[in-house]
Amino acid sequence: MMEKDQTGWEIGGKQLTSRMFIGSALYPSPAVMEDAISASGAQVVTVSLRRQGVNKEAGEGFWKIIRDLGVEVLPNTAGCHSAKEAITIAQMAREVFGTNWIKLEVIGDQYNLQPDPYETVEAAKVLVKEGFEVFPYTTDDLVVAKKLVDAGCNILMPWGSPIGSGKGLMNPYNLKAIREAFPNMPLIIDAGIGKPSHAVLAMELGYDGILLNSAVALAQDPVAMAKAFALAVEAGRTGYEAGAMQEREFASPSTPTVGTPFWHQSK
Amino acid sequence: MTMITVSVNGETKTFPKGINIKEMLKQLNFHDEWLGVAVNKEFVPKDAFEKTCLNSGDEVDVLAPVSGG
Repeated sequence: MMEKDQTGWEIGGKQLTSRMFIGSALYPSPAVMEDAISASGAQVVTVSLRRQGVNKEAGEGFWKIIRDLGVEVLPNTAGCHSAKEAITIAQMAREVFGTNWIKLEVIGDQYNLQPDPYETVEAAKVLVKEGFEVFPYTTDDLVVAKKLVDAGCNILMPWGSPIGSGKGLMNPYNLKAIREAFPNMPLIIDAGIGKPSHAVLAMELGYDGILLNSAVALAQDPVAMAKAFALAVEAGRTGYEAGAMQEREFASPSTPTVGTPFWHQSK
Repeated sequence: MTMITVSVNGETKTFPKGINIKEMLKQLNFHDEWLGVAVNKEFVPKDAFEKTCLNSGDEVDVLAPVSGG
């Protein structure tokens, strides 16, 4: 049996063994969220900031669960529509969560929640200069990916398909192109993954990890689905490292043809 | 006493003129240590709460951790 990779991998200056990042939203209950995160084996959990209700300790219960899980948190800038908004949220998140990691998300279209490449690149430039480790949520556009790298990003997170759609990897060709253009950069498929098979494909493309939320939180059994994704990520990564066979256009028998018994013997 | 009107998380609040962010948070019972503050969409770090006075018409956002994807 092949030995499991115990050495792990590095992203954003931290050493991880799991290649799955998981979101903390949309679960049927906090208890299910906690169990699903644990079952996923994820060591990175995305969180966010929202207005706190006056006279309330809103969010404290949620935040305590996440803290007690002992995971790395990746705050997002979800809901921002401009570089300026995203920069302010990132600055607040750094103080509240005590991390320089930020999932930079600047939305340019409400219909498909497509990231705004111009505002995302502008925000990335500023945040990198301010010492953030920027995890930019972007499309599968290679040129935008290059601009983000030029802005100083050390990590890229192209979408598989629109957030929450569960459509999987819409454009594997583009995702392959990004992988080939940045062979040594940590690449995470963020958004659109709906089923474990999508996660396997992402990992087989050579991506370093996946980030998902709805696929687990909205499953009929989120805890079981979290486990299924953990297995899928491991299967896909192990398969990638093992090196797939060359695809062929025609059939080729796998059983030896020499010694084929009576009815196929040549006369 | 001269009073000022400030928007806090979208709600209109009235405070004495010269109030700083630390006093404002206390007055509104924001006692959670896990919060971030922005005034007029500019981040205000915790160590500047005492020296940052609010002005009439300011828009204050007090944010706390929530779930996210």
